[in-house]
Amino acid sequence: VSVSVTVIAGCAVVTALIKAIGPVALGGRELPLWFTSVVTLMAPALLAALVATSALAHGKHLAVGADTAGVVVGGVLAWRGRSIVLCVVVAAGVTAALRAL
Amino acid sequence: VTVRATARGEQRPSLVGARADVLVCGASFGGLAVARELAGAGADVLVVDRYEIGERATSACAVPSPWLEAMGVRDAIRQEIPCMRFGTPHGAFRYRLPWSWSSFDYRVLCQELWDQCGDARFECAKVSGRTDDGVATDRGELRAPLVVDALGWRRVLAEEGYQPPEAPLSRGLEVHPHSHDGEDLDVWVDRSVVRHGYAWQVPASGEQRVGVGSYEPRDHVKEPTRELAGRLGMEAERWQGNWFPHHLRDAADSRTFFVGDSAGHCLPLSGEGIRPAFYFGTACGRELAAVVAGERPAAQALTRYGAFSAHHGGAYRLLLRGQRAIPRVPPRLLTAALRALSHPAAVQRAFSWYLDQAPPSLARAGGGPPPGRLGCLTAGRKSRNAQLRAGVRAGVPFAVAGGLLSISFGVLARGAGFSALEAIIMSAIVYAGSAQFAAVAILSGGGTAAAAIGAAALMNSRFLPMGVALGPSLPGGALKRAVQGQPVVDASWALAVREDGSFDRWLLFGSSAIQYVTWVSGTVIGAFGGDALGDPAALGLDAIYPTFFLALLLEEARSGRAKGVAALGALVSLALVPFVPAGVPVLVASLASLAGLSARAKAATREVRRA
Repeated sequence: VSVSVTVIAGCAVVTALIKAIGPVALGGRELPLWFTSVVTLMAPALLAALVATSALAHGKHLAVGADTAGVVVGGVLAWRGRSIVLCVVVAAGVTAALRAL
Repeated sequence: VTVRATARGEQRPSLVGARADVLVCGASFGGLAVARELAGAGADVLVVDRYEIGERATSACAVPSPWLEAMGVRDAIRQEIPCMRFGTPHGAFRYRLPWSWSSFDYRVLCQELWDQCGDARFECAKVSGRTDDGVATDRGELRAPLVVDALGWRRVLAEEGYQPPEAPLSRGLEVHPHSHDGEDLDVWVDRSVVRHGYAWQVPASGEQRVGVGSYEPRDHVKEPTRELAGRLGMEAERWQGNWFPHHLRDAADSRTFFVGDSAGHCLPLSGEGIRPAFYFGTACGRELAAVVAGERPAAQALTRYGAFSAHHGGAYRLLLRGQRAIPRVPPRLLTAALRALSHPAAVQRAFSWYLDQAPPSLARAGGGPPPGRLGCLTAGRKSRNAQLRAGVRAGVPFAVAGGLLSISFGVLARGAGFSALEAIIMSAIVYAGSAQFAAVAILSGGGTAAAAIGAAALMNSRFLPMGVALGPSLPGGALKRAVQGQPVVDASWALAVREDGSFDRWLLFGSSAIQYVTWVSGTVIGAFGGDALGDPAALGLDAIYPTFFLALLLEEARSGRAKGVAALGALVSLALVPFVPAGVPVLVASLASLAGLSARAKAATREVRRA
């Protein structure tokens, strides 16, 4: 079995397991009040962490690069209420342009 | 005889020069719901009404009990009514509802709502119209930058008023005789009582509310009400009646918010007006709170609130069609339809749908994010197919962006030694962007298969808390729930979370489905066309992924607390990057949401203060 096949199968199994744990453990329960307040705040926490790490972390280093600038421009557009498609296209364009300089 | 608390003459000094941040005109259910939602928002709220709060009942039939619970006004309940009985001249059918109605004491209910309105002030004044920076009243002009019209169907603060009997108004009249009869909410559709409409009897613990409603404003209801009371062997005493609208109107113009009957929020067919007043009043109050907090300009809040109300147009149109059709249906056919509907599953479905058009979860989510573009999608719990379609629509922009991203995945995977087919299969069966990128990056850096899988697992570890959050909203056995957990991707999960922390799973499935299609297609393009596309880094494709989530974050984090938690999450994750493997910083950052626990403590204190 080639390395790539092993990796694909391994990733598929691991992903499925992780996604299943919460639903299996906590299915169909009544929501306690504290749970509600935590869950509604979980999306902002997770999304912000994803944005920060994917825009600034390269391996274990933090660095501002062309992509960071692209993300900032795309983010400003999103904040001004532009469509997400426009935002990502502009972000990619700005990044590409900076790298081409 | 009603004792008037309302001051008159010299007890009513001029209010000229009075100012407030928010001016709520009308102190019945719509206006009080707005003021209640603004409690603690730091705004100077002035409520005005022609009469003292609770003095003049404008409507008094019944409200779904879950709404009275959600608003914290259970003490106003006179009688809970779990069953409805629908009668025609040819038969009667008793339905046990999935929720109960409650009849209530008007004065107590208003008082309990007012007690929750914090520091809001009240003045008795008759509002006669809008001025450039406030409203005109019989006690002088009041000024405020934010003005709410909750004055009823006359829509006093708008240009386009309308008058019965030409207007799209229904009329209702009821008597309140003393009697212990009845424990069901009776509804009769009987042409011999009223030609276009219905008659009702609502028990209220020792008292009955017996009345007649006509969808046709030209038809009189006084004689029919007297006759109905006679048929039921009750006194026609203590009369009360009003007009109520059956056309949804714009809930905001360029300067005024309209709540309740002034926006036509009363539901057609049933004529239920209190629950929609609570519902839209709460939504309006949240928009106003956001303006007061400086989160958005007033013009944007007007647009958002108007869109939120208009988003419910489908349900209003459907109910209006029912209101027009039912008086035309031959009585025997209507009887057969009521019999068919009396099956428990049908009752369950119909009445759950009906409650979900203005669900109490909106009020329960007190302090949660205001209804936004995404909130609109999840506000009403629609039918499964409608939610699937709504999910697909909501997912389209994310699907397009995700498709672009997966092109770069296809290119990178080829560069890491995957065949085109392998790259496509990986997208098809793993379907988790960041994990796929992480695994491929490890392989191209010369890492082992085990290291690549480990990195993917860490990247995906955020699905653990996401699954825990989603779990309670999934029905079925363990295996079924495990399968339903698989479509979760970040954008769908964030789209599907409701304001009360539960999830709309069909919205999630729909949004994931469309994103899956473009995710796999993009990989196909990248894997086969990579050579033509060139270096994904040169094309800036790596900026797509963070921008994608940033746009989603901006949509999600509207309240001040959500913004704080987002900032905390970002800082925590960045601080951890140098010390732990990729993926772990994001997992740990999810703990920032525990700030919700302190928010809960605050809410609990508020409850105690209310009590």
